[in-house]
Amino acid sequence: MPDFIGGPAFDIGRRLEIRAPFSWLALLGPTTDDGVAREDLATELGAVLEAPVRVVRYSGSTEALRSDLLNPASDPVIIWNLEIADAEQWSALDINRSGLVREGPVILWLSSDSLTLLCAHAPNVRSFLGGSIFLAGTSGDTMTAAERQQRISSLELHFHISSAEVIARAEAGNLPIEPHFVEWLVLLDRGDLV
Amino acid sequence: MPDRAHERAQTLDSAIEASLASLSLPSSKDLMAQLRTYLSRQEAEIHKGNNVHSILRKAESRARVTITLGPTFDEGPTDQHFHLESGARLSFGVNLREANGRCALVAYRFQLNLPESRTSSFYRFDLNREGHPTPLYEPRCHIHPGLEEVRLPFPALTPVEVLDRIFLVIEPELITAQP
Repeated sequence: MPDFIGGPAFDIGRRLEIRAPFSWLALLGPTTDDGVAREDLATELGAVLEAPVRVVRYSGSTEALRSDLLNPASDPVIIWNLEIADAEQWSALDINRSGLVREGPVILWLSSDSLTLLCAHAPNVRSFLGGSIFLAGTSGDTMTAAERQQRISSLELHFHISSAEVIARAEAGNLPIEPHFVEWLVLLDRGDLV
Repeated sequence: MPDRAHERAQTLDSAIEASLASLSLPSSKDLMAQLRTYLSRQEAEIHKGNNVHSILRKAESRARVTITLGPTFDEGPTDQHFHLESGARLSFGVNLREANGRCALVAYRFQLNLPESRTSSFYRFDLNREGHPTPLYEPRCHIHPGLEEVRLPFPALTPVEVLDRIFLVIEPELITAQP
């Protein structure tokens, strides 16, 4: 099973662009899912597809899901909370699969347990996915403390002044106006002085 | 007429300030996604081994956000730059003020170092944090045409609009001019 660690949304988006319309895809989310990874994916995918991505919560009702998927039917959708579906509910989704077909791409956000149930009790939904089952990575784009410090050191070396002096000048209102000094303050966690 | 140059420069800088005030960007999360997608699409075309996900970084502090690509200062090619097909390399820093799910531009720097064969070594697009007392020499938004001490006024563009000029205007000419 390929993974998209380091680049999930862009690769998914390109696959959906190539395969659209009526594309289905499954992503195995992280083990501890607080929703952040899912929301991040929706944001990233929206940028790739240049369309807002709707996040739909499965409530346990096939009819409710059908209504969500068809209103509207053309936008990209991520369906989550499928962990609550038992064997009977997966079978119900499978039996009513025709009613779930839509023009816009569908991404199933799954745990490994729910993927197992899907494969066992929803063979037709499984065929919608084909080979499009992937592991979701994380974007991990926030600078680490080490990265921040490396940039701070670079700034101190280049301008021959200390970070303390930069803060003092910012507080005094006489900091140079170049963009580097704004970055410097953010890196020092003194965005309040910008 | 030359004796009114400073006055004209101040008028132009005021116009840049006004245009900046009307520029509204999405959330930093959305802008980051836009930039990542833009650069990923470029990399998908040119296959230069740019790992966009590792070189595009973000730092936040008290509703201020800095988005960076590449090193803070260009001192030669690194694996943190975005390398273009022509041999040019790109690094940038974008600084934002974020509130209520929207961002305002505070400052930015986009440095494009040109291939070594070029007589002009770099272009840098800068948006300063605020206006300068003498905007004739340092307009708030300007381009450096390969000279650190020369700053020519430039419209205040969004980060994606700057990338449009780099990738769709400058880069094709650099490729065409290759020996």
